[in-house]
Amino acid sequence: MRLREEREQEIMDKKDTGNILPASSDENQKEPNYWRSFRELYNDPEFIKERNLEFSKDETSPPDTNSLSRLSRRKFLALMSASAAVAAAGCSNYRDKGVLIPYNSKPESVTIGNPTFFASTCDGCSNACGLLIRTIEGRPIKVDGNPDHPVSKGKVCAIAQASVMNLYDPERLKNPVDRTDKGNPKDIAWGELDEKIIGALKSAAAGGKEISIVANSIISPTAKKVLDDFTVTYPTTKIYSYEPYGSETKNSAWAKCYGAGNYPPVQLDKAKIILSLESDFLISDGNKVEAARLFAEGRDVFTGKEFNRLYTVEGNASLTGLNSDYRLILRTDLIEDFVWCLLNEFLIKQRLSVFASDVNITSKLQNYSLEQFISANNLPKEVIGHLVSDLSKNPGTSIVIGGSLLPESTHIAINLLNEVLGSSKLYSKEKNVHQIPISTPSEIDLLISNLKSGKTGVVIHYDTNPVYDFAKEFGYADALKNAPLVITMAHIINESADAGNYVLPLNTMFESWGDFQPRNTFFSTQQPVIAPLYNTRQKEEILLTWAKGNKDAFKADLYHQYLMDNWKATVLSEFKNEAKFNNAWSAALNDGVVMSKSVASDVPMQFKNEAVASLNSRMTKNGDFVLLLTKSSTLGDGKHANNGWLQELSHPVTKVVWDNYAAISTQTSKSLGVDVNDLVKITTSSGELEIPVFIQPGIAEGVIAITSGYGRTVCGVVGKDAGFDSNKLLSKGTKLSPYLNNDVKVEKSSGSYDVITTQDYYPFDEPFYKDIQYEREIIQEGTYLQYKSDPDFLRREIHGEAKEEELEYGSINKQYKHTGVKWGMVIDLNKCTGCSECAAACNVENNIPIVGKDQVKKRRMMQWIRLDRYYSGTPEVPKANFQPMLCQHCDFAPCENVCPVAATTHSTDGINGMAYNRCVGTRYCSNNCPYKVRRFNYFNFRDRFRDGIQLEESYSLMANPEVTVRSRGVMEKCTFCLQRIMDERQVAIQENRMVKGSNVKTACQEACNSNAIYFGDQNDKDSDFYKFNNSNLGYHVLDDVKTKPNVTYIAKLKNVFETEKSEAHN
Amino acid sequence: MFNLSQIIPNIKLTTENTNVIKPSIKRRKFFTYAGALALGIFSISKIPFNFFGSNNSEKKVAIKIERNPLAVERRKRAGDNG
Repeated sequence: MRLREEREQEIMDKKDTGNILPASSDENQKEPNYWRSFRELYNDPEFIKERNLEFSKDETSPPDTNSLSRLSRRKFLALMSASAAVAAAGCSNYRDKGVLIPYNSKPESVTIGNPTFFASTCDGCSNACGLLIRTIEGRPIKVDGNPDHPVSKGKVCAIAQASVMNLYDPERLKNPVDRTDKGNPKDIAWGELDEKIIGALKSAAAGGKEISIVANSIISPTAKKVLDDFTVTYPTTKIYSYEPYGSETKNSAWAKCYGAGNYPPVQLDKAKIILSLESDFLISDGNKVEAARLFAEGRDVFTGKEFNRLYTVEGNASLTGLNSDYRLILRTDLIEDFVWCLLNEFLIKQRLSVFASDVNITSKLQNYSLEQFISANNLPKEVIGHLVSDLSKNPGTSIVIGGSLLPESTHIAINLLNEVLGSSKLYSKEKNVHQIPISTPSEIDLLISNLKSGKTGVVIHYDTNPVYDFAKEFGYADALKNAPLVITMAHIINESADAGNYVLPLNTMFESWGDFQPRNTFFSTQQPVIAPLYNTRQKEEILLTWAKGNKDAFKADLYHQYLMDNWKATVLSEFKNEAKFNNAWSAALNDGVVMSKSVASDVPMQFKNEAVASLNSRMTKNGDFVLLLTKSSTLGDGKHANNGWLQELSHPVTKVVWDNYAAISTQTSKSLGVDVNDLVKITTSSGELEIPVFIQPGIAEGVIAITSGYGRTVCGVVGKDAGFDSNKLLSKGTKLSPYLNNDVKVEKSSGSYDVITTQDYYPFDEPFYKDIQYEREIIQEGTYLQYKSDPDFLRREIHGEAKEEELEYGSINKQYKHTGVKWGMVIDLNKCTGCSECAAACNVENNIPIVGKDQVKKRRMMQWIRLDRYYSGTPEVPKANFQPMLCQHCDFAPCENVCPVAATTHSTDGINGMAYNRCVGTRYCSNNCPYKVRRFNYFNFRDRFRDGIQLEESYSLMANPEVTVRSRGVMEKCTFCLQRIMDERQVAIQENRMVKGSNVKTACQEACNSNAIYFGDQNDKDSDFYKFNNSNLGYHVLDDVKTKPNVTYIAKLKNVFETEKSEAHN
Repeated sequence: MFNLSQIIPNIKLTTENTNVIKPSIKRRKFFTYAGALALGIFSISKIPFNFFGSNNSEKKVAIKIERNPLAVERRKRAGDNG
């Protein structure tokens, strides 16, 4: 960063000489060289040509009239007449718009137009985050976090944000289906179905045949009771519980090291030094909502608290790794050796802990040497030196976290390392709870063998899809064919339902009662905020009806009553009196959470040395390739594949949408002789898969990383055939772990497949500014120590010694003085992890349509926030910066000046608004926007995507009525959630007070897991926002363009050692 | 009193309207046309246009939105955002 004058002079010099060198070839450049893709880094001529175009060629190319057939006058008139006749006929069939009728008897709490909120719990995964569901006139339209929830604390992930789409999915199962005749599936009444199934269950139990219930991990105590009751009625019942992409090896290692239990939550906010080993805890590993918040608390520049320091050692290029201060690239199957080498360093050399005197342990470490490991694997010695020093100097405040995909032996070594470092103090006293233990691979094998040998009478898929989820080497799909009766409970058709006899449609979480106990310290409640939209039931009440052995036992509030009775006997047992219980129950539903009477255990955990001493098998390097199967942060295990919002949310690192791929390094691509999009064939002992290649900077040589959840073959039209089924490569986990395999064969296959990434999109460097593209300082960064010693360093580097008043811009227009409220946003790049939760929330709040893969390819994504990811450094060892980019609501907005119809104008409170019905779609505003944050509706995407599925009645119910649904030919962009500002204005008028900035939360701000986004009134000097907005680390992107943006970014500080200031920069 | 002839001198005010247009359509023809038009409208209104429109064989039932009366609405949404 240099003084403005210096920069300007340099730009002028370059202009004079015409010597504008590409970034990668400017060896003497002082600035970091930011790049977003290999095409940009290597100045691919096609890329240069594309970035100098405002719109891609597909967008602007005129139709080829020569290719049209010639038409005679007579034929033309005949066609015109015919089309007029057809149009006239078609117009007569207008869709029934319905009739608006006011409430005859209005519910007490409902005020037309005002939203109501309900606390509930998410069942999208086993983390069970607290929800606050917003409904308008009975329709759930938005999901946010419940601020009272002790773990998620008001935050949820993208899956929960987008879950309203699951409720209104027109492809949901609407009635029970009898598929006994595969060629002719037909709807069946619940009563008839119950009768048939109860008969089959009774006969299976009487005949001693197993009734297998295949469930995901059960964290609901009342659901567990239902299963118990079912087992009492049908004693041959066996429950198999599994968690796709869970933490099986981590939990089993924990049980071996500490006797029992599961790996506990980690208090990341108290950690000063964090070493992450192949763990992407910021986005997909464990409870990411909690982890991102706690991690960001240690990176808050405004609290004055010392920054934590994050080291990562990994083979994959994870989001956590790219957010770290120091990132070491190491093949995944060498990580265990690295841990043993660290143990050798601390126990044999430094004799840090009492474990140093345990011969059984030290004897295991004799063959490991950190120095030899560093030189053998070409690791940076200086960084390892810092790591060793940091870990040994911070006993009790440093923690080592292993990724869930690592094998059990590695986790045992990591647990020992944490004990040696005194890090076990950072384990929370809370415990993660599973009501039913997760089944081991041998138990799943037993399920398969019972199926094959005819010992199983009935199989019930309890809202699971094991045909897709299970490793193919189990052979579950084939074994299932032997089962006399297969019942699948599901929301939409899936692979297991397709293989079964009966499909039972389930309520979504918005229509269900429930309780959850993910940790031993609290219970959370789930309540239906809407009556079931279709003829569906919740899975617990289905089992309860069967458990009672009589189809007439079913009634509408069966499970509700059962749940209350169970709580009366357990959680709220102190309220004996009916009235008091009812009050307590209402209070529990109001809050969504009840703290448990059993407090967290203070008993210190005792590490069992024999866990290490008895360790025989270890992970060692093998073969040329290591295969990593990682959990998708959007589709999860594939359950959410039919959710278009999640499919279109780009991968946080690669920015790929609608697909998965094999991510490999540049070296691996060379050795395989493949380029991006080429197909490769990956073969393991479990199976084989053909999948396209994506060359990912920063991935270790030989590592192949594939994201899960794609390649669904039986699904709705949205998710069907999107991506490739990586579960074909899952293993039983008997060697390393189900998700990690180093016995892999990879070869180039024929053909290619288009993987679409948005990482090249919206380049800032249009031709007009081409000569200053490397001077734009879009990302500002420094080091934490630099900031500590000189808090004003950034301001001085940007503006020199100029005083505040000297920085005022000159303008040919008179600047409007915003004397009242002036809205603004601050984004703290130290806390932002680039996870894209904000974009997911924005989609839901602002009715943003799904456009589809083909349109994303043409750069027609409609999301109002994009998460820019800038690499710097080399493709082998890149560094990354993430930056949310949205409309900057500039005071001197260039878009406003060029709109010929004044469709985009400025409000007195500083918002750059859009009048959609005035917009004529010239796109001049988008052309003139230096931030490229405007989105144009090239089509009515709702009509266009998948034959207009977004125009189905149920999807229409999902729309936020406070935000206009845009159609073809209209420009749109971020409005700072104007509808929420208007709500506050309305309340302020009613309460006869001034508008208060802190009362408004934008959707992205509410969703941000790491609390990186602040919104408020820039003129309110008493607010916290004012402090953030005027921080000495604050800067505006493209300040030189003098648009006076109202979004302030807080510069990124890397917590590296001061001697490595240049390292932080480049 | 208001006198139009003073304002527009060339107009001669008279009780006879000399500019009356002679009817160009005969009474009989008028009724023939009117009858044909009514018949046309009647015929068109009876054409089953739905036949040309949506070809969905199963009639879609409108989704009914109902609140769950047993759910408890939250009294307080969230705290300030600072």
